[in-house]
Amino acid sequence: TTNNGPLAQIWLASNMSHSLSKSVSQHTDIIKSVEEIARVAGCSLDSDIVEPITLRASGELLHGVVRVYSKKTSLLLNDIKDTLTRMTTLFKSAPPNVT
Amino acid sequence: MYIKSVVIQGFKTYKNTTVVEDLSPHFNVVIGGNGSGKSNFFAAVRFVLSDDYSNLKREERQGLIHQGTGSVMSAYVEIVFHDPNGQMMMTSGIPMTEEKLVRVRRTIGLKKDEHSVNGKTCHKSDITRMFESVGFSSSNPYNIVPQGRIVAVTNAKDKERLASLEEVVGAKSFEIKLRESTKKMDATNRDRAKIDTELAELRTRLEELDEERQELEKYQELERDKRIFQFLLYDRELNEVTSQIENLEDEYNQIVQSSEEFIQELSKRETLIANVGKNMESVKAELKVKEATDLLQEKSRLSEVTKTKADLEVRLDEIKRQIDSRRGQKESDARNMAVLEGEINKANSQLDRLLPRFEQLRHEAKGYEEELSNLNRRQREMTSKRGIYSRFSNQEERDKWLDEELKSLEVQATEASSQLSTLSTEKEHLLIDIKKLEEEIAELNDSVRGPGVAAELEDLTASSSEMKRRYLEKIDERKELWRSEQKLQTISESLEDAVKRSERSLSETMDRGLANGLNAVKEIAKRLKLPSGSVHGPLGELIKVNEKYKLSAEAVGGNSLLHVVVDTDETASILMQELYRTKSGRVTFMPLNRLATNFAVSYPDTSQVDCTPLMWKIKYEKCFESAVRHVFGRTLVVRDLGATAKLARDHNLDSVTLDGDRANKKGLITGGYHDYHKKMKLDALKEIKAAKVQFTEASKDLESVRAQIAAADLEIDRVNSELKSHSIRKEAILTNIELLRAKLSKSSAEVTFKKELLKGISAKVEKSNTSINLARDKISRYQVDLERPFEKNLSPEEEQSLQSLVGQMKRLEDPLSTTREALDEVSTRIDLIKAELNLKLYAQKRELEARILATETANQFIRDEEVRSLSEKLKTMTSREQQLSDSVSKIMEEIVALNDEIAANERLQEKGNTQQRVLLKKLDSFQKTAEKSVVKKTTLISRRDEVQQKISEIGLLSEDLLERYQNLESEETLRKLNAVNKKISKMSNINRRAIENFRKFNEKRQEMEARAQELTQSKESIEKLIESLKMQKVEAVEATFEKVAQNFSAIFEKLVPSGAGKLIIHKSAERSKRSETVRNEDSITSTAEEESVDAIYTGVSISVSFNSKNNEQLYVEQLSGGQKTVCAIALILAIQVVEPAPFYLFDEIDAALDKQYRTSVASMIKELSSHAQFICTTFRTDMLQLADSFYRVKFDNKISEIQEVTQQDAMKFTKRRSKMGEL
Ligand SMILES: Nc1ncnc2c1ncn2[C@@H]1O[C@H](COP(=O)(O)OP(=O)(O)OP(=O)(O)O)[C@@H](O)[C@H]1O
Ligand SMILES: [Mg+2]
Repeated sequence: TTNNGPLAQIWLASNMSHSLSKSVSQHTDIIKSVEEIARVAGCSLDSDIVEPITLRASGELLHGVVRVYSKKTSLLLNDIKDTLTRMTTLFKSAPPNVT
Repeated sequence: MYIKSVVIQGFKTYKNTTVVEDLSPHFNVVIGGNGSGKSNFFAAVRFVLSDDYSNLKREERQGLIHQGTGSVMSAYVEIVFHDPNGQMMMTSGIPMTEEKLVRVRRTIGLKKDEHSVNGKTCHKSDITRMFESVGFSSSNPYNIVPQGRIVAVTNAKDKERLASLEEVVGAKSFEIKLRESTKKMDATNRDRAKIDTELAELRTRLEELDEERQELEKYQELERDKRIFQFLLYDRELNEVTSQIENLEDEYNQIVQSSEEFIQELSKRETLIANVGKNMESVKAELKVKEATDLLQEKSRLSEVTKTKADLEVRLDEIKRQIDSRRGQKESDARNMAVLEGEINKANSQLDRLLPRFEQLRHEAKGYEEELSNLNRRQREMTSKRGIYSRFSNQEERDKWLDEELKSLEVQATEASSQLSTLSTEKEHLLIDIKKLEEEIAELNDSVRGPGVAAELEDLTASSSEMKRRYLEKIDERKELWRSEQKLQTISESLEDAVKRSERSLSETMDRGLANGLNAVKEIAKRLKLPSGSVHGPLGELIKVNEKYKLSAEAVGGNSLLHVVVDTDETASILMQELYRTKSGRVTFMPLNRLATNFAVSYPDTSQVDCTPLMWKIKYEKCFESAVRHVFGRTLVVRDLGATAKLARDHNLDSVTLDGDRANKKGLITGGYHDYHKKMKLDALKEIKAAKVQFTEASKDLESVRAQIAAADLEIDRVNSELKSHSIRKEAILTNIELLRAKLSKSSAEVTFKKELLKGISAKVEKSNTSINLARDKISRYQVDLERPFEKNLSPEEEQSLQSLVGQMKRLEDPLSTTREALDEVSTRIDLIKAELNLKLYAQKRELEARILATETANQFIRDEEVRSLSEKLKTMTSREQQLSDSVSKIMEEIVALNDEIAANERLQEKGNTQQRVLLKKLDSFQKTAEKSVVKKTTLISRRDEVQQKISEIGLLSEDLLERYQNLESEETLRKLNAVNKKISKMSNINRRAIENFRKFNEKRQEMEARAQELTQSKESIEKLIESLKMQKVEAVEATFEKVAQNFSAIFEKLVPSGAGKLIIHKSAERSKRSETVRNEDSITSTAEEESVDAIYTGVSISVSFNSKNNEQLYVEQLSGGQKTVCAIALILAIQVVEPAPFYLFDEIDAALDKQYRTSVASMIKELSSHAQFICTTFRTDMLQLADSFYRVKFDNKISEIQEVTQQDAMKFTKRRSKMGEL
């Protein structure tokens, strides 16, 4: 049922044993995905789904979305760290001002 | 989705490949006898699909694989699903077949255990997940119910039942995922906290950067000013420097031009000096030859000649002296002779005078004596008569005695006459002997002094002297030859030196390996005795190049000039191997038989263009054409590379200028300055060749001279031996003569002896004659006496005659004695004279005569001859000496001249060198100035470059700003610049990249902050989702439970129409409350999460009644086995309705039921089988009546087999069985 819907990536993210690719996680809009999950799981208020998906499936999707989120976070963290080190190395190479 | 077919092999009783095909998607029944293998079939399905057979031990595997006769080592079971709607989520990488079939296979052996989907090996968990996606859980206990397990469902505890219910809903897996997610969220939250702090740090850093940026901006403004000022300054300097450089360049060019003239001059001088040096070398060589050999030889020759001359002179003197002395002796001899002769004459005359007197005296004496003796005899006779006859008394007596006396006298006479006759014969013999001896002596004389011997001797001496002359001549000749040999030797040595020098100078033009190789090639060719036409030598030796084109040829030929031309590649390979073997260098060979001769080269029309093919300017032997063509054939000589380059390229040719600059057809150009003083290969090769030719000529000469010497040696030996034989012969003749002479003297001695003997004999003969006469006398007297008568005394007359006789005798005695005295005297005198004559004078005379003869005959002629020849020789020697001393002085003069020449040359060289030095000094000074200017120029250029660099560093400046400062004085500018610099220096530690970095990092920061923002939102939404999903789960469980409970009741009622059943869920009251309170708090910090949502419930219990609808509700524990089974079936089916699985396998679930329940269960299954596939086994007919497909398991020989059968057959089989069971 969810094979080729908007949550296909999330489903894969959950099922894939290996780590997520950067681009996939970068391009996934978590909030939208979450909304979609909520929608298909039939727990949001304005749910118009007649037959909600099974708990197993929603669990999988949740896991997937969390993994993506986590990946994004770690990516950002790495980015920031990287930037910082670059800045510090810059300062190091050009002796910092006497502050 | 349903099971379409099952394939079993080697599994338990299914030894052979068993295929169960075309299973109905709805209701299937499998029948068969006890122990036939039905359960094994189910086990096979479970083996693939459920968890029951995971983590098998070795023995367990053994148990699964068929055991029996011909046991198998591995087993596999394949289940083919038909999935027409594509419900199944395929594991990634496994394709769906076109028929929508999914083949799941598991294979085990004693060691292996493999799963595969559609032929692709994959992991068990992949398969599990695949089935979960279609609602089949491998851990679900209700899907496949093995034999006797159905009651376990009923007997399960409430909590277990709850768990399985939740399992059915999927809550469990949800729970797991949820836990994982929350954990991850926590971890991520930690990361997020870090992100916040890092971001804060970033921000502070950025602020710092901003400050720096502002400072930088200020700095940049100052910098710009500075640059402007700098630019102005540099620009001005640049202009100045550039003009200076130009000046310097002009100057330099001028110097170079004039120095070039000087260089030309220098090179001219250098060649001059080189020529002088070469000349001097040759002169020196000549001088050396002159000094070392010519002069010495001439001198030695001279000294030799002088020596021989002195010898000759000495000898001549000697001979002359000898002749003189001889002459003196001869004179004295002659004088002596005269004296002697005078004496002899005197003696002879004396003798002559004395002899007649002697004769007279002797005659007188004889006359006297005879008279006296007659008288005496008469006296004696008379006296004897008186005496003799006195004895006798008578006649008779006297006669008798007379007779006797006569007789004896007779005898005496005969004796004497016989003696005489013997003596005369003896005398005759002697005479004959003497005659013979005399003949002999004459003969000997002949042979000793004969003309034959003399002539022979003369011949011998003449020829030996001739030979001696020749011998000496030859020796002289040989000496001459030796000298020339020595000379040639020196010359050839010096030539060899020249060759070696040339070769050395050649080898300077190439590397050592090649030089060694070339030498080795020569040596090898000689050693292996390669035929003379096979190794020709380096190409450069074989060609002659016009002087004008030499540079070109040199440039084009390059190392190819040293390639060795050989006749065939075989020769080349022989040489090459030999070179390799002896490790002596590397050489390139040009085998003439291998070089392509026919490559066509088209030359451009030379009459039109200013060029000539290089080939035309090279002279070579026809046979080397291919080699020459190979190297030079593709080259044109041109006046200018640029102009004709295209032309040459059009004709696919290289081109070369007269200066040796080259352009090849591919367009590469080689050229530039060529060191003219460096030896050129061509020159070196030419020199070597010339030197070699000279050397070979010299050695040839030497060889011929040596041959001549050998011939001379031979000749000398021959002459010498001949000379020896001559002298031997002469010696022999001389000894022979000596011998003859001895014989001669012996013979003459004998002759004299014989003559003496003859004389004696003659005397004897005379004596005999006289004695005969005496005897006759006596005889006649006796006879007279005999006639006479005997008288006793003397008659008186007789006495008287006797008396007269005595008187007569007395008269006679006086004259006789005087005569005798005179005779004695005379005879002694004669004897004296004779003795003197014979013993002294004649002997002396003979001696003298002999001496004179000897001197006169033997020596005179030879001496004269010798003197003449000696003086002649002496004359030639003197002339020779003169000649030699002339030539010596000439040579000396030559040497002096040569020395002069050398000195002149040296002076020339010296002069040249001094000039050279002057030139060099000049050049040096030029060079120095040039260098100075170059150095200046380079410093200026570097300065210019520096300035340019700086200007370019300063970069572009705005025009208007420049214009503003354009007219500023340089000093003013400098001052301003200094001011600006001061300001700048105050602003140390400027971060030059502050602006850029700030911009970059600021962007980055903004972007990242946005992302962080987004993450926060995401986090919130996820948290919300988790909450709602938790709720959802509870709702779902509840809803499911509701539905299941509802269905349970309905199904139970269908199965047991008279009874009623209920599922009851038990909540834990206090827990639920707490959970609710917890849920009302913030869920992020909740600890209740771990305890999971199902903590709300404690279990699910079943409550049924079989006989009434309202009361007597019984719990499962209180039911019978059959009732339990019913309950279990109801529960399973109820769940099936709510959460449908795709297929169910029931092994004899109706075994414990009575007919009524069996029928209802069967119909129930039939009803449900429209949504799911059922495969059941049974021994009853109830199911058979409703099923769609039928299969029978046959057990034969311990091997099971499954066949599809018709309903009737199945019914029949089952009925028969049940009857048998009843029986
Ligand atoms: N690994 C094995 N190799 C060969 N035979 C085996 C193996 N394992 C079990 N069997 C045989 O299989 C038979 C059991 O078959 P199974 O349990 O399928 O019978 P069934 O048809 O279900 O009988 P019932 O009607 O009694 O339930 C026994 O005869 C047993 O000897
Ligand atoms: Mg059985």
